[in-house]
Amino acid sequence: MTESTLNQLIVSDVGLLAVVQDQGRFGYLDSGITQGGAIDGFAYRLGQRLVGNSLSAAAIEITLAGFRCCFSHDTSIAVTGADAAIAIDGHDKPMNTTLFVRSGSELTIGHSQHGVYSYLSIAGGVRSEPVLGSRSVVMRDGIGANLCPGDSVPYGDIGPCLSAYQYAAPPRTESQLNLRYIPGFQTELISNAVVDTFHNTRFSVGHNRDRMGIRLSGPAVNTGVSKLWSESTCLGAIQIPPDGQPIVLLADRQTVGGYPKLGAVLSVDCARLSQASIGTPVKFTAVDPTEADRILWLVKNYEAELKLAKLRSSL
Amino acid sequence: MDWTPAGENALRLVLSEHPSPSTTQGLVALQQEIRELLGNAWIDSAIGYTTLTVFIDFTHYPRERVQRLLASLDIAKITARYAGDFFSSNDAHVIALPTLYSPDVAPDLLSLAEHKGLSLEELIAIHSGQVYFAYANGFAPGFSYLGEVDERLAVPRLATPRRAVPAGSVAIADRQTAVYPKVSPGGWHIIGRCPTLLFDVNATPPTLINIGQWVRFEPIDCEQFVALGGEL
Repeated sequence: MTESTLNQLIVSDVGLLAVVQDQGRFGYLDSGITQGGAIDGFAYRLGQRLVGNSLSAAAIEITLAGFRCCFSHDTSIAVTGADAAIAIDGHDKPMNTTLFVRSGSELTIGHSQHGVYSYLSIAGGVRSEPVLGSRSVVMRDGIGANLCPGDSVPYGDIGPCLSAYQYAAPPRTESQLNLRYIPGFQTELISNAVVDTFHNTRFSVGHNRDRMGIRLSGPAVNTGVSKLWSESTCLGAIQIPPDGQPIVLLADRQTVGGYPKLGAVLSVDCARLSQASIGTPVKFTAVDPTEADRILWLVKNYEAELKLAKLRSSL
Repeated sequence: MDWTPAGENALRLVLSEHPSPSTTQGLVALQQEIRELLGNAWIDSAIGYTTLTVFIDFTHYPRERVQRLLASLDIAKITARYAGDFFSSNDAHVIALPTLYSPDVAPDLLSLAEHKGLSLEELIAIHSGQVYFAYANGFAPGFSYLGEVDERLAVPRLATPRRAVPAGSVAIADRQTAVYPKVSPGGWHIIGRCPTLLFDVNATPPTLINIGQWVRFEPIDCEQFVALGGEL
């Protein structure tokens, strides 16, 4: 079988950072290989849906700043996630919409006005070489590499989508984030008074953030836990280092860690946190695992039922 | 022993209060058993010093059912069955890591020897004179936490971690030793360099050292180091 290397997008500008991401890499934690994957799973899956891909196809994740590329063959694309002005051959185009691009067309994604991570999804998916079952790039571990101007990235040769859709996204007005988390790990070693204070504290999104995690700032959380044996982390784990400023671990987190943890934020709220701007107020609310299962069920079914308005037959 | 939540899609079990090779062997045995038991519900799992964390697809497999399955396991029986079975510190099973102990590649070698009141030869003899157990993998792909280092060599981490530790660096922190598989930041004391590839995405498994295995460091000279592919 020939994976087409003819269909390629040629990158001319990557802004701050652009990397290929899919759902992540699973089954290798014991080798020290992190999960990775799109950091805003909702925006990533929406993009795949708009271009008719399976939910495991790979997209390009763009951090904050502008991105520019050309396409070698006719296809369909969608840009989701952080709000940015986008244009094809100089004509403004809407986000969250299936867009038709011609061979030779140039796409520009401007600086994000709101949010941090944007996703460029392409019909047939990005076809970079998978490593251990995933195309997700983990730069820290030397698995794949960030895109550079001049790179060409292969994409599926299925051609444009037959239909175009638009997701009328309600405006994101998250002036304060309420992060729902499942208590666990060292909670039982930490006094109720400390946990209560934690719940009543208003933290804010700090400057120190990347795909590994986001550091929050606020009054120090004193867990009173010192010696711990390193153990597995998980997505959303709320880690309290000695300075008492919580770190919420995200997709590229270290696989094991020895800091006390109060629990882990739900994946849907990790996605919201990842898009929050610096200084956004954050508070935590505990939910029990059964409630979490219900929330995830709702999200999953809501996504499956997303009312994507059909725009037209694109062909 | 209870399985407690580790976020929305994982459960964790603390097998014992303190780490030991037999605890780790029990965790490895349990991990294998659970992987078979859960089938497609299993996403991933990770062993810590005293813990096993299992990631499960609760959107397809109801939490209650999985919890009942896990609760039905006879943990004592499973961990006892495998004890000493898989892992042996006998020579044949020990992974040998050729190591060049030289100040040319190890910036902390001389200072550590001096700090500990040891000659270079003594330090090398102590570090290479025992086998080490792989308690956990993490930090970076192929990085294994090996223990326990002889008390005479135990040393706290550097106050300021280095920004870039060369690949293959053999290092000590507290009573642990490890090899940095690739260039990375690091705060451990570097005492040697190993030319062996520790991580290869095309190998199965991709890591040379796996949890529960025994490892020995073998002193080599510059010529052997270069012959084994090492770069000075």
